[in-house]
Amino acid sequence: MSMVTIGTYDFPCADRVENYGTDINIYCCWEHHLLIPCPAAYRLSPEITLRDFLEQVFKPDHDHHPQMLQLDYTQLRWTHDSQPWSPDLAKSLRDNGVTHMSYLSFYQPGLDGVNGSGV
Amino acid sequence: MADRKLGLKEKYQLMTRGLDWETTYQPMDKVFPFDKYEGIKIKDWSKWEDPFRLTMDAYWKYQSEKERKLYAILDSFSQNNGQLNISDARYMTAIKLWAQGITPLEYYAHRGFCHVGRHFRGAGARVACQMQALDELRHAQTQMHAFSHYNKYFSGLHQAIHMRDRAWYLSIPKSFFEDALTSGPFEFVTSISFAFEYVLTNLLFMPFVSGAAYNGDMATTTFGFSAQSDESRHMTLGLEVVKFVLEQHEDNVPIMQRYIDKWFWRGYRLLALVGTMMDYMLPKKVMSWAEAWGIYWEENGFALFNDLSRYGIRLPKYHEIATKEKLHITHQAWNVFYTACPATGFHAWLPQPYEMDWLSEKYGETFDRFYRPRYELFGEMEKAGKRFYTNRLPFVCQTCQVPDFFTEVDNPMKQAVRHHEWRGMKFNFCSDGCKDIFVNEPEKFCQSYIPPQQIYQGNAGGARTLQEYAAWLHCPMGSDAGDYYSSDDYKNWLKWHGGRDTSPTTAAA
Repeated sequence: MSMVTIGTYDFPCADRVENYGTDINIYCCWEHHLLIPCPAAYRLSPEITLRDFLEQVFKPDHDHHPQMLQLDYTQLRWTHDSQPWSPDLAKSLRDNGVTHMSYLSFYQPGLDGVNGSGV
Repeated sequence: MADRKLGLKEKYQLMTRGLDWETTYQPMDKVFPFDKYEGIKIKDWSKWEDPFRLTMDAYWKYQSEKERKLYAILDSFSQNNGQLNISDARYMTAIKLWAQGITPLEYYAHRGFCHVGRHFRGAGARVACQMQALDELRHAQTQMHAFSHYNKYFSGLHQAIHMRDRAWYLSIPKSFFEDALTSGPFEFVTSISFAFEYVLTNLLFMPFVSGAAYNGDMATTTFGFSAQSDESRHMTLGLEVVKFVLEQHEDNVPIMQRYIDKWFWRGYRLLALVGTMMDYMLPKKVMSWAEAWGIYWEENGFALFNDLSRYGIRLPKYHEIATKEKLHITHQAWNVFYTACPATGFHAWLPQPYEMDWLSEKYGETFDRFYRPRYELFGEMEKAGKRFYTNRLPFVCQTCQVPDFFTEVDNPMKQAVRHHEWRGMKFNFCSDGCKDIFVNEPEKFCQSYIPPQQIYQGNAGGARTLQEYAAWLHCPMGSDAGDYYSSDDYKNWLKWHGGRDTSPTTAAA
């Protein structure tokens, strides 16, 4: 549906990819770990590999979490924009099909937060 | 003819009808260019029933009496160092959030009602909106005056307008009102007068003013009472607008239903902040958010929509989601406040033992199973000298601009998120309610000015980290931001009380 307006109403999106230089904005959520109160937003080069993202960006951000040491990349079940997804960690975000404003999440079966409480 | 003193009724009739005329030099549609494009059909403006028949001289008289009383009490409050009598300096976080987030909305409301007070074709509706515009300006001013005394003693109250345009959490109320202000006049009054002031206002005003009374804040209690008679007029206007529009033409029903659906959901999302105040910021508790939602929405709100069903209006879409969420959202929001408070203009803290017990009592298994474990873990981290602060910008909903701390209603372990693609670009949301609003008006909401995105685009003074952002906000750690127990507010509070921590040990007032 389109907006009802008094005249021409056409403005650019505030977060269009051109505003990020050569980078993109993505989100990433570690399911069942709500000690991290919200999924985080990242400005990244689309050329970074998913493994480097996890190692160099995601992990240092969340190293306070007691379950971080149990994270096993081979066990992760991923979704991309809430659809099941099987990325190649050695490939770049771009080559894995991640685009501007993609929402990634992963879940490791059995890892359900401290004492299984979802935190 | 001999002078004759006019009665109030006649005066009112002359002001609202006698001063109105059909224009002839210019067509009426050019004089009132905004009140038809929304598709709302008004056949007869004379059917408008004025909700309150106040003449201007009566209005000035009542308001000036209230002002005199209010300022007498504010003066005595400051002369007697009333700030020392609040329950605990933690209470100030509620005042800071109100001063930063809600007081600017009163001013926005003033501007909005000035606009519709000019642009409705019916003179009765115009006069009602003009009076409300004056009320709203008065509320903004009296709140600033009441809070200005606290500004001498506590941090975070020093630059409300600077912060309104920069603080990430203030984009929630700001975008709410800017959405309303940029709508057509009928949507504006439905959003503010009906959905906000009639349906949801008791959830905002009642806990805040009672909370002030319970916590010894006589300044706030007094301006609350001073505004109360205005608020009841505003509520009456909200209901009158909706009934009038619905009675005018059946084609108006689906348009009004869409406005009600949208603004119920937007208002509800905004109120998550207020719920957090009730459950966490008030050292002395009034009632829980879940209890308030039960009384003011599930009982009173349902009764209202029962009355409106004869016009073909049903309960707002997703109301049942809001009711299910009542057991969760305040705890989830406080988790954000606790972890992100270095980049705010207020302090946060872990609930004290008496508060944990109170939360268990009010929220039962929900609290003990999902939220107590977080606080216990945070408590252990604090003890180990590693008080946890988040260091990454959050994902924020494209519509309501609330950082997405929500979980799926049937699974409190699962992060909630919704997606939509429009003109080749991806957009993400916290809920179906917010996604629907975007899908109806993508041209508007694709422009949302979302703080994390703006920071990443370099539009926050070039800040790239949360620390740089806090400096740009003019809220450094310790004085304005960060944990309460390492703040200047806490240190000063102890000093003023001979080194004694005055925090209550029980929730009861």
